[in-house]
Amino acid sequence: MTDLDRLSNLLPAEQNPVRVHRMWRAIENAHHHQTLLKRRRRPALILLGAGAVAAAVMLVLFLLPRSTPGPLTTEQGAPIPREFPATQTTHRQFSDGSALKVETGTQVSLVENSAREVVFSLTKGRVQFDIVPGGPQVWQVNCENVIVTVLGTAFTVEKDRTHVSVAVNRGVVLVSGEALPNGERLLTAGESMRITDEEDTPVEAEAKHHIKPPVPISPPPNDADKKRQLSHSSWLVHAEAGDYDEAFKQLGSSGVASLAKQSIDVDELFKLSDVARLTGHPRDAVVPLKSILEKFEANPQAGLAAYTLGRLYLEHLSSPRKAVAAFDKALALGIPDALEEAVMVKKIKAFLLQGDAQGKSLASEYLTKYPKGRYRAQVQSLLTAKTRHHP
Amino acid sequence: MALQVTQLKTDRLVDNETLVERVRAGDHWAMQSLYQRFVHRITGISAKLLRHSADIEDVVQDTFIEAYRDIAQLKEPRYVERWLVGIAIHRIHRRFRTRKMKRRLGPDRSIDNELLCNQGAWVGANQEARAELALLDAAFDTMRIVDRTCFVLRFFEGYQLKEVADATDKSLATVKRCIARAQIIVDRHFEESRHD
Repeated sequence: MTDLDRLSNLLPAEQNPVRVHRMWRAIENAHHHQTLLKRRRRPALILLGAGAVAAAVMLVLFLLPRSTPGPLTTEQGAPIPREFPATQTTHRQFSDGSALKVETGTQVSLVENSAREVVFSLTKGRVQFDIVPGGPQVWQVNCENVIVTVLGTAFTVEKDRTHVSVAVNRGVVLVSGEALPNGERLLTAGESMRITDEEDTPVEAEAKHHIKPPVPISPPPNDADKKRQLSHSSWLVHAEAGDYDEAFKQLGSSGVASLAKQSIDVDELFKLSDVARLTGHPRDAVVPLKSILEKFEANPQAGLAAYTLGRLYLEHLSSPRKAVAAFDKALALGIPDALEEAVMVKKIKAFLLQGDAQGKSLASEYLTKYPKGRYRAQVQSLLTAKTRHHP
Repeated sequence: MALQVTQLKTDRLVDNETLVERVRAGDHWAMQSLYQRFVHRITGISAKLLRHSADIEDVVQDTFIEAYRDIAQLKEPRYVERWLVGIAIHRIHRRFRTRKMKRRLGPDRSIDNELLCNQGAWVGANQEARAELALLDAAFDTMRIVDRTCFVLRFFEGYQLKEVADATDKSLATVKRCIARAQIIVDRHFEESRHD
């Protein structure tokens, strides 16, 4: 019998990233227009058959401009190459002053370059980006399951078979991917992130671990207290190892609540909230975040706590009114510029869920303020939807 | 400034059920995540069956567009992959029926520009390996599409027989017969080449 296993291994398991990205863009556009057509419910379209509706969608897609004027070029005005040589370190300067350095052995391709966005696909290796802030384009680096979105910053992305690392020197990046709590994480200057398939590896010598063990609380603990504290410390060990289920098992809902009241460490409170949220206990996740806002309002991360609280209320607890209040708090306390756009969109959703007309006016405001926004398609479809809808 | 390091293991993926729930809620990140998670599988199956680049991309796009449109009807979100593959198979078979009709009406000018031997070339298969894939191409050319589908799902995508039956909406007995017929054709092509 033919050796089919061997033949199967001769075929690619993964697809060309340019093709993957191109198909995604087409799907995104088609889905957006399908949503618009469905909402409008024009009598003429209802009378036509499904095939004609599909033809109308395809016609709209055909008429959509594939690219708008203004893609980036090299500093000399030449088109940016799609591929970069892997055999040597390459420096490139672009027409907007941005630059990148591609190290030897790196496989990176330019998959999109338009007035709206510049997208690279990184398969392997290391690239340093230095993006001029304030430009019209959104820069994005796709590393399979991790996407780094940039709005003017200097950062480094590295990828090999088992890990993706992102380190930010200046500005802010948004890292999104399935491995991250709630699908995304903001990294600011001085922060880095490593997403890995490996077993726990020692932390690099020059890096400090930002989670401190919990401080014992006076009066001196008795045996029952000692046992509880040991258990509370071990929750942190499990959480650090990524075993959130075990961490929550150690704590329980009452443990999360009690630690949230006692804790004097903002990072620990964030970690407590993550443990509760990632194990499907959104109500418990609220307590540590509220604790940050009550006790550490002046802390630079308080705005992020309010933002995370808003997302919990909106996406997990069906409390759009409380979500709006939390998002307003986040804006008042201060959050990175890159998050403000996301907050606006979430407030729009929250208002619409309540049937509040402010949702539609905020959506119009968004479209004016962010003409090339990341969520433009989503907001446009919300704007044309009925005022009241349910998640 | 000393770097703060956060390590996150990739096995903390959002599970399929949560992802589907979030897509249903209109979460754009979840939509893209669903796509990123399954696009390689769907494209791989489409590529092995269709072997024509425009058809492959049309089927993949149509599969996900249909999925986002109908995701509220998915009864068991944890089986979303199986559901997506089912949609893709249905669309692939429609594509083949269209090709067949075109051939009846006149010459079919489309060229299979993503033959298996070409797909192998892109991942660096050597000449001998590509020759074997070309034999598989020739075997596929003579197979009925339903036999080819069952064969690809079973031996190239690693599906169990019951999973093949679910994806193709056929009975287990039919799937077994399809695979057996396909296997005979493949073995014959390889056997003949050995005697050449």
